[in-house]
Amino acid sequence: MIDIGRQSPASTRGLSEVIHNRRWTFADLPFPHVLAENVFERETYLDMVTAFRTLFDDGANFHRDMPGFDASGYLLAAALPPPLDIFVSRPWHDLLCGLFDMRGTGHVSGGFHHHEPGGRPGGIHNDLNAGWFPEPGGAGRVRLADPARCSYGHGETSEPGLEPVRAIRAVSLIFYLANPPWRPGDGGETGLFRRQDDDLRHPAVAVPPIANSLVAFEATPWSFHSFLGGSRNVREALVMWTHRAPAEVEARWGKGVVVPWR
Amino acid sequence: MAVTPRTEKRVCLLTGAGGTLGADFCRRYAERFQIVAVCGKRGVQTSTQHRRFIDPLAPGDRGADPDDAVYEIHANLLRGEEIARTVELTLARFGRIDLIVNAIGQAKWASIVSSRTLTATADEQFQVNALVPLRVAAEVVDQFWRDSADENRRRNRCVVNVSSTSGLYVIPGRGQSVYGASKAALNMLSCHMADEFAPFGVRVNVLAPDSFPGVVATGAVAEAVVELADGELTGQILSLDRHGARMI
Repeated sequence: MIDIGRQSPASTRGLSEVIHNRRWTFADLPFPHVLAENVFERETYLDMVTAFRTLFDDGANFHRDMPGFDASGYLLAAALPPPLDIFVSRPWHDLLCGLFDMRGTGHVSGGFHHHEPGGRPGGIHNDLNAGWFPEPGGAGRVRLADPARCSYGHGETSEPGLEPVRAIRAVSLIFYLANPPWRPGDGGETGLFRRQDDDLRHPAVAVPPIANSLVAFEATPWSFHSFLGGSRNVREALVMWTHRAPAEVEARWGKGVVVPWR
Repeated sequence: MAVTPRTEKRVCLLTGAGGTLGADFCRRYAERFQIVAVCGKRGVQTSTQHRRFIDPLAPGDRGADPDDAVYEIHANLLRGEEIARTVELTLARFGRIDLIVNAIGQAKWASIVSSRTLTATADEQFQVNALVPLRVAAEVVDQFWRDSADENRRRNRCVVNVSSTSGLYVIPGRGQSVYGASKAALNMLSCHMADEFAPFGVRVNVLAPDSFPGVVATGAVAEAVVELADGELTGQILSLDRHGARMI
């Protein structure tokens, strides 16, 4: 079981000590989302970059097997070196959920995404998908997806007696790190859209991949977004999701809104 | 049907709100004026009716007083119907317009002799720099100011058009021919507006700053706008350069 609890640096130091910018933007359109730049104080951020580079330079960590994404990735795991383990701490989970006035189950999935220059854009999607976890959630802890025990997408397991738990993505986060300075025209933004069939070239909002910045949003039936592609530079990002109970989603939007995996 | 005003603050219709001066003006004066920020694709950077600041560690406290949020309208003011919609929306939301700050502008500098860019963009530069401020003011006059002389005077209603020192002098070798001419046109149009708006108590003035933030601070330009808005002058051009402010 991957159980991240109270020992992470974020828990011991406190997020208030590592978050530099306390003035985040909450925007309603095209759907509720949060934007922030200069998220972490400089020393913590630079340590994150160093830790990320160490992971990336060990090529075995990144795998180019992400269906539908022109990127390579590295799954979030309990053994993330500090200070990257902030992202799998309970305080960070609670912060993300708190932005949208919700309480998550403690289940977290995600990973680091690496896009080469000129990477192809994705398709517009809403992230309202289900994930499977080997353990129930609970207060005070984070439970990470653990493909060694059950598949995240479908809950398949070969572990006798294991009863995987289904949860629905609640808050999506993209945190950009280790990217070169970004200027208009450099591409590689994350586009936010009003509708699923909008023109990918004309997002309502285009979030640039500025290092040490983030975009977060509640996964809803209408949280349409996509990587816009066309980046002049490599584009590195941490992508993660908190989760909530299926009943909560059904009570709010009815049955059949959770998007099945293709 | 009369609309009940939602604020006692002066209602300021600001064009060019997504630009350098517009953004600075919103930051400095959102508490003092009820700003209606008219912008194109690039929105304003302050709290709006659709965007606010939160502390990620205390997100329940949704930050700024909503009364200090600017009201953001995205509009292409090159289209007359969008100007009309902007004014209608402002009046429907706030019940009045007390001040127009035309900070909208476009600067495309190129040689008359060695570039086709200049002639290709001349029409739009004149539209943005001279005709849009004229049309916005004319629309507010038409929809609201023309028959409210007493209230206009009581509320010190006025227009401040942001021009440029490039509209006052020929600055050689910089490719500012069309830009300067369009700003000069704005200056002259503004003086005529002052003459024609005087009977119903609306003042019109021009602020002609040097380059900002390069030569003069953007904040100084914003402050000069407010000085003109708060004063009693009309039909005047205030130049602002590295030596300070002076009437032309």
